[in-house]
Amino acid sequence: MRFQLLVLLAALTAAPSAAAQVSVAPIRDLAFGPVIVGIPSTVGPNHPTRSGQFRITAPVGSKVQIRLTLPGQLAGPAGAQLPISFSSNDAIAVGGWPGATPNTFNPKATRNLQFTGGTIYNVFVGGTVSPAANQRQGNYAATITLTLTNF
Amino acid sequence: MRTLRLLRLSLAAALTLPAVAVAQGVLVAPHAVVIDHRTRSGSLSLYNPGDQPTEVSLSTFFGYPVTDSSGNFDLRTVERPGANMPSAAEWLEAFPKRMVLQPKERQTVRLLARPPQALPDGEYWARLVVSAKAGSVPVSGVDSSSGITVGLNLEVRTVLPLQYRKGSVATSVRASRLTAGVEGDSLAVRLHLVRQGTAAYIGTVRGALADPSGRTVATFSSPVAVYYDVDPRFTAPLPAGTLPPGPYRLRVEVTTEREDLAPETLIAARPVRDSLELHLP
Repeated sequence: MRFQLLVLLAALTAAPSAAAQVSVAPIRDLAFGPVIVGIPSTVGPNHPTRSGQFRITAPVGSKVQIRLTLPGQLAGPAGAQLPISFSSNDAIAVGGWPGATPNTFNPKATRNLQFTGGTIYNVFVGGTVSPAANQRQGNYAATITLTLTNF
Repeated sequence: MRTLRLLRLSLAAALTLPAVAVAQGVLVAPHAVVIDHRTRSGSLSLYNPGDQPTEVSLSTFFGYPVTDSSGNFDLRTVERPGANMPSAAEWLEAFPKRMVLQPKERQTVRLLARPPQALPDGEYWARLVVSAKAGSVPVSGVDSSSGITVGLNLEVRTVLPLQYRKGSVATSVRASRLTAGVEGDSLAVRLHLVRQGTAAYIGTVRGALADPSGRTVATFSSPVAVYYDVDPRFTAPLPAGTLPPGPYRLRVEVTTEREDLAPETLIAARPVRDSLELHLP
C-alpha cells in the first residue's frame, strides 16, 4: 500500500522533460481594419500585421495534424450576421528554423506538419468579410479554433 | 521564385512585429501519456506562459490514427465505441477538469482510471483534449464611418494520445506494398503497415535512396503510429539538379524508436525492413 502511494506520488510530482512539451498559442487576431459597408474586405495570410497567427511548439522529429474550425458568419447585434469566407489559399504554415519553406494550404482542410529542423511552427490565417450594403452597425465576433493532434 | 521570396519577406516581417493579442495558449507536457494498470494514474503538466489568465478544460474521447487516400495521417473518432474497441475514454477522469491558469502559473492535472472489473490484459486507448481560451474576446477592426467592428477570437485545442496498459503487452508491425516514385523535386514513398500484437505500434519509418554506386542520395525519417493499419506517404527531397538515370535502391526501416517520446513509454519490437529497386528516368 505504501509502495503504491509512493509510486503514485512519484508519478504526480515527476517533472516532464522539457523536450516532451507541446503548445499551441494564438499570437495575433485576424484583424480586418476598417470595414466599409457593401464592400468585401480581405486579409491575406501573408499580411504582416493583420493575418491571424498561431504558434505551435513540439519536439524535433514529431509530427502533428492541425485542423482549423472556421466560422461562416460573425454574430452581431440583435441577431445580425456578417458573412466571412476563407479561400483555399488562406493559410500558411512555416517552420521557425532557417531555410524552412512557407507552405500555403486550404484552411478548411487538415494539414500534417513535421518538426524536422526545429521546435516551432507558425500558422497564419487570412479571410474575407462581406458586409451587406445595409449591414447593421455594431460589434461582430466569432471564433477560429485550431486543434492540434499528436499521433 | 519571386513570389516565394515576397512570401518569406512578409512572414519574416510578421514574425518580428510585436504580437497584437497576447498569447493565451497553454503548454502541455508530456504530449503522450501512458498509464499502467498497477498505478491506474498518470499526470499532465499544464503551464500558462502568457500574461493573461487562460481558461482550460479537459475531456476525453476515443479515436485512433488512420491515413487518408493521400497517405496523410488523420484521426478517426468513434463517438460510441463498441465492446470490440479498446476504449479507455469512458473510464478515465481528469482532476481538475476545468481551471483558470493565471499568467506563468503551472498546474498538475491528475489522470485517474477506473477500469471495469475483470478487464482483460491488453492496451486501451483514449484521446485527451486540452482546450484553452482567453477570458475576454478581443475585438479588432474599428471603422468609425460605418460603425462596424469585426473581431475574430482565436482558440486552441490540443489532442494527445493516452495508452492504458494492463498486463503483458506486445507489438510489432508487418510492412508490405512498398512503392516509390519521383514527384516534383521529391521521392514519394508509400508503405502499407499492419499492426501485430496487443498494443499500438509507435515508432519511426526511415528511408534511404542509394544510387547505382551505393551512395545515399536522399533520406527521410518520419514518426508513425499504427493502431490498426495505415498507408502513410513519405517524401524525401531529392538533391538539386538531375540525378543520373539508372537503377536506384530504396531501403526502408521501421523501428520502435521515437525521437520525441520517452523510451520508457515505447514498447520495443524488432526492426522491420523492406527495399525496392526503381529506375529513375
